[in-house]
Amino acid sequence: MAFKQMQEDTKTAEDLKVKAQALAQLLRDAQPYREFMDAHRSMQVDETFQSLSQQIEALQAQAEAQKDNQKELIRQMDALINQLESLPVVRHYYESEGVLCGFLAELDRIISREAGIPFSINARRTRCSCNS
Amino acid sequence: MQIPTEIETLCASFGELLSQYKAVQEYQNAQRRLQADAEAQQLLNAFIQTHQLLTAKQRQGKHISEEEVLDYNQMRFNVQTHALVSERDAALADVRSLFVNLGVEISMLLGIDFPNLAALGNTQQPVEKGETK
Repeated sequence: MAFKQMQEDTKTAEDLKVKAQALAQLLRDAQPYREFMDAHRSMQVDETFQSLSQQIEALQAQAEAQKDNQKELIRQMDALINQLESLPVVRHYYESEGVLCGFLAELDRIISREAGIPFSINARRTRCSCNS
Repeated sequence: MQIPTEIETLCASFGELLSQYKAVQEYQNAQRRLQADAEAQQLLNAFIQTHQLLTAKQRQGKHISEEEVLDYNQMRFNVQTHALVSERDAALADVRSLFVNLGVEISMLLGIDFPNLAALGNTQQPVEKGETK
């Protein structure tokens, strides 16, 4: 009896893995996913984005090394981050991320409804002990 | 948002399959037992209320006395060591282990963190702890 149950569990686990893979395959063609990936690629190859990112990283390294000048370096970093976040490619990336999140949340609601337990919130690798 | 039918159907059958998994069923049974126990519910509700009260105080920058902290820790201990809560939490840990693996499976194929992005877009409250169909 116990062995049979174990066999059934193994089968279900394998079935679940196959279903999860099939879902991922299907999602690769979904519009919100494709648009998000395109936006990510466009952002990564944008020269202004690259330049600002490098400057921010350099300032971060300086701030870690120069404790006495941190305030000024952080101020400069904040100014660069603001510039970076106002770039059209970055704004487009955030917008497409928002759309993707909404889309995935819809899928999660369907999965969770059928499973009888919230899926994504319990599938996160890092969780706060307060359950947030 | 309009979900393509093929994806919707696959999500539904994925969820249905999850509901058949032993760990999920054990969790739901443990959750039902916990919900049906008046004493455990009273304990949980009192703890949640105290937690919310102290959190609000902390946010407002108000002083939290040592006595309040001790009471809170005692309540947390009582909740955590309650047999039905422990049983539910142990069952939930098994469920999470399965769900995390499945989330990783999906995420790896997509190159994004599916569970975190879905949770970001989700307005549903964190677990507390499992609604049934």
